[in-house]
Amino acid sequence: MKRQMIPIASAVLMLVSFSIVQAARSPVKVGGAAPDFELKDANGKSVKLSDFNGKMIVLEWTNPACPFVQRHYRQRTMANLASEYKDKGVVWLAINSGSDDGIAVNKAWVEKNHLAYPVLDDSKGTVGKEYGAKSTPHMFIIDRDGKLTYAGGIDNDPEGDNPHRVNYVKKALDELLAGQSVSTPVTKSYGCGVHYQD
Amino acid sequence: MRHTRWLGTALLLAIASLSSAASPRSDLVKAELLADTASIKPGAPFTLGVLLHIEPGWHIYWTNPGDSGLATSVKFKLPPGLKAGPVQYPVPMRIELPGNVVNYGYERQVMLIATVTPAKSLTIGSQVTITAEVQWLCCKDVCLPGSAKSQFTVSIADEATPATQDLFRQWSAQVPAEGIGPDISQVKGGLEHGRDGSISILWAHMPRDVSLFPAASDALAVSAASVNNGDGRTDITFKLERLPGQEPNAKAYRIVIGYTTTDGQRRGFYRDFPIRSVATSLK
Repeated sequence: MKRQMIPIASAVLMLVSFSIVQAARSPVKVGGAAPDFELKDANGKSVKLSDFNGKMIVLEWTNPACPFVQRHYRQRTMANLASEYKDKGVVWLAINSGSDDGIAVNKAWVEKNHLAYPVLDDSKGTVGKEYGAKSTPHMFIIDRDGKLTYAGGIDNDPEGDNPHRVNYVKKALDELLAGQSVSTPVTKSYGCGVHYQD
Repeated sequence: MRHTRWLGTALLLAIASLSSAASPRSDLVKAELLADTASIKPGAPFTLGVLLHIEPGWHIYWTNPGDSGLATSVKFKLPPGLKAGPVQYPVPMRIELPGNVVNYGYERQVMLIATVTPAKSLTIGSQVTITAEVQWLCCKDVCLPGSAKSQFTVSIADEATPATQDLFRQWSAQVPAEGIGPDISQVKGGLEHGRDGSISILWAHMPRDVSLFPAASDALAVSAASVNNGDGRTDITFKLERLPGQEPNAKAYRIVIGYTTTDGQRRGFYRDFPIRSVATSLK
């Protein structure tokens, strides 16, 4: 028994050190290759970023308990954008990196809001840290070549009362669909802090 | 084991739905409008202060909240003849959360202050009502927005009457000063190649908790900040860049350096960097 445990123990140790090294890597920058990931949706089904190779993808960091997210969901900001651009071939994935949340919380959120896009469980926080997601909402856009082309806020309106509101995600998607580069590739995101476990 | 996990999930669901149903709580932060004078003398500037008491364990935010949050805002409603200057914010604390989420804000108590200039033409013996409207986002592990109104009525008189001056001195001293104060022997700073920023401080008395607090901006971003404390000195380096597609709304970008003196006083100073010398980030 003891002899078998030593190789298992060292395999576990290697796995643990490998994941620590992974977490210590700095987040992807705009212009870099978007890291692949595999997370479970609200039905427990695995979703991989690489399932959508060749498509434009929007990643939305979400948190059902956050007042900024709640305001946007009352106003259907993300749902409307997701459905408008779905017809243009854009994939929308919401991700919840809150350590206290999980599939059950995400499922309740999907049902409450009748969401047509998945809400993925990143309660371990791995993917959030790979992308540098700090707030909810925090938006990232990946182009058809798998490159990160936008990182930042959903818009420039944290309080919801800016008469000169610009929806940065819509602007970037329109530019990309027209074959142009994104004119505001990095913006300040706002929202509640992502609740990482560590 | 399986039963416990199911119960935990149910409890989480209950908490999640409670949080989303909760209306903004105003009891986490209590606001008090104060003045450093009990009577207003025409032509004599005085100071207004909004003293905020924050529930222990929770925090509210500075003008740049950091990676998340929302700046605390104060709007003064003043009668004709009274004009308020910009609201001044004491040096904040650096609040570090898991996952390298960094915020700038306040815990327990903070007073936001503004100088008011009364017109010389105000009528002696008349009374004026001053109102402060405060809005905040108060966070612990959840975030709850809140607001409050506080007002008082005060007479116009021949002479001002000093009031709560110690409190105002205590908080004014925490508003970042321009350049050097008694704690600092020398400050040098600059921006190389349009993006490599540095601030070097020689201290008269070595403080603790030296931190960088960059101004809020849609057009500029600070990254890779490093604070290196040595023997009687602190060397700070950081990257400063202009974000493409954004128009700055000022000529200079302000960075506040906060520190705590050896006798526990929070202090700060600021350095301005001309925006025209900042390079735009690639991509």
